[in-house]
Amino acid sequence: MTGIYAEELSVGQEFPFGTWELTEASIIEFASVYDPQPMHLDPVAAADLPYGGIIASGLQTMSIYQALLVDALWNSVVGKAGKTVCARLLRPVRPGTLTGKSTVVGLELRPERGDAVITLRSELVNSDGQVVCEIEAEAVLFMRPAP
Amino acid sequence: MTLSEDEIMEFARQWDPLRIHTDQAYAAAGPFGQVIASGLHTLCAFQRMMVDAFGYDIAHKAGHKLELKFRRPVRPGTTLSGRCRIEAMTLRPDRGDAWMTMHSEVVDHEGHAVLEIDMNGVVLMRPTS
Repeated sequence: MTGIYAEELSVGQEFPFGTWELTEASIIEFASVYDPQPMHLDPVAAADLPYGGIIASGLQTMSIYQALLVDALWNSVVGKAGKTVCARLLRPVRPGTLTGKSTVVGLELRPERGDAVITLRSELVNSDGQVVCEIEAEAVLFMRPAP
Repeated sequence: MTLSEDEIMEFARQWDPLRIHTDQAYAAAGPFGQVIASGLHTLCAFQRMMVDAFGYDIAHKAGHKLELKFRRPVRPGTTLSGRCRIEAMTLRPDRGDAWMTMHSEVVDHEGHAVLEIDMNGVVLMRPTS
């Protein structure tokens, strides 16, 4: 396997995200399959609800985070499995451009198991620079195998 | 709700493009011997089952916090079901709403929990006339 092993990462390291264009059509398409509720599906009904227009399912927000994080980090590391995710949905997400970053906040090497638990704190930011979602996630990564 | 291999790979190509979810040959050589579902896909299946089960019967405002624990891999063809339990409910009559804490489990056809979900959200109180 090629890629970054756990011991090559360190606490404090930051991984900037690329950008994601979220369209109203994509919000409706996602919600019609996974979260069919009026505020995600129906522009007319949504206009009368508290947010005054279509907003993305929180699950789609989390999915966009994951897609950006795969690109920014996960695809480059030698990973084993996801462990936990804790997401705070702070603001409604409307059509627009999303970006963000992820910071390593914990790294527990477990040489006896040949792996490590990494903790990442990430934020997703909207076109106005407001944080819409904070996510803390733990995953298990491999350490470099002993020669 | 059953996640087929095609659905698992299609979801992952868009939202979680890791080879363990998208690449059959790569996954065959890995610890699970086949592709497994993205944890987000399992969460999305859970949400769809929740909406189908309760729909808009619960007048709610917003979900705020979600804590997920991934317990077991979800393999293609696994039929998922689930259950949820209200853990706490704090009424806030001054705001006309309530803070709700709920614990949920997504279980496979053998009854094993594959995903545990702790969720906080705001639900509406009945409007006073």
